[in-house]
Amino acid sequence: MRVVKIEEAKPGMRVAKDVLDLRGNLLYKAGTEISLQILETLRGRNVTHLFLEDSPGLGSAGVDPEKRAAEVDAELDRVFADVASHPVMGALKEAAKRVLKSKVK
Amino acid sequence: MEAGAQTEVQDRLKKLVDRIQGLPTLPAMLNNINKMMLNPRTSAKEVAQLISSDPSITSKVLRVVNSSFYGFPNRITTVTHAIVILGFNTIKSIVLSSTIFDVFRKEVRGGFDRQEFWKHSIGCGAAAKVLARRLGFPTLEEIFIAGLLHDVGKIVMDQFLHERFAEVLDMVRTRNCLIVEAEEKTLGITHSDVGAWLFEKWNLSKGLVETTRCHHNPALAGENAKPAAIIHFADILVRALRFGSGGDQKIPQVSDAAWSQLGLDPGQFDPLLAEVGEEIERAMIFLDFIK
Repeated sequence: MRVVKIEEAKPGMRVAKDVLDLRGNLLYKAGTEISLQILETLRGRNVTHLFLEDSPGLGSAGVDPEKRAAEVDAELDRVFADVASHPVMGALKEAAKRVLKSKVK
Repeated sequence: MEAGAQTEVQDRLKKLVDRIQGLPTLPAMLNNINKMMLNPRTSAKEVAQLISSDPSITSKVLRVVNSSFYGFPNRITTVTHAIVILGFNTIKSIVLSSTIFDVFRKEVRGGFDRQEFWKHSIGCGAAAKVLARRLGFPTLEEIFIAGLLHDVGKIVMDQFLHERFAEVLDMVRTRNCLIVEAEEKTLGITHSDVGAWLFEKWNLSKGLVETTRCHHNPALAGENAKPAAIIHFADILVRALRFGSGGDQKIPQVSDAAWSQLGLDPGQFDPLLAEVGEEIERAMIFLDFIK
């Protein structure tokens, strides 16, 4: 799941959470596929951000879990590169890999 | 840090912040709430009346208190009801974070991505709340806010000292270092100093000032060393989960002093990170504040 600005949402994407207006009224249920008409309605109701499914980003569901898992490994190896020899940081890196990869399966 | 070095930092900080022009003052609403809360005879209704005079803040307070972040089974429809259930301090924290998001809403061209910045900040607040809960810390709300606001100094620099901060961001990009390292090399002070300076100027609590000032070196926070250690490690956890970005792409090493303060078990990192992920989802309601 990821948060995007309404300008970045495209038809065909799916909302990951119920969409509410500023008063808390339900506009669309989680799982609804976005259409051009829906985008227009959301703009009209001043909705500025959406939770979307199927993020192409790290640690989220996607079409090729093995590729995503490899990306998670590479990304965490990169950002932890200077500190991974510290026992606490090394353990944290491995735990973060497991937790993020469990989301892409 | 020795006293001499501390004075040098203060001198450099003063020289830098003296150049800031047009820094927003703390909104009158917060000053008024602070004054009202100092009076023990102030009622929930009086504070609610003040908050209700601003429809934008009222709507934000009601959205947050009705979100899964607080998880009340019944809908709260009035600010008075929210104050009675959550208490003055929680409502004040919500108003504080909402107004600070508002004050620093303006995105500077060529600066860093505010959306990613606030996501990192919300993530850090959520991670701090999880750590505080696990450690039996009494004031979860204050810890959440301290996490949410720990990096505000970056926004102050991005907005009001834009060219100097651009040099910092350039160094981060070319050397792939942490922002705090680039700030020390380029400016001789860091976003932690600037954030603490702002919160002091705004008369916010000493706890918030010290956790902000010392989140990269919690051992210096004196009596606030434990909450500072919580914010320090929360920042590391949310970076490990790759959620949002505070403007750099590296993970700082945990301070040994902070690690011993926290008394955590690395064997428990998996459930800890999973719990932080769930708390972040609930806390995302705070992204509404930048609308």
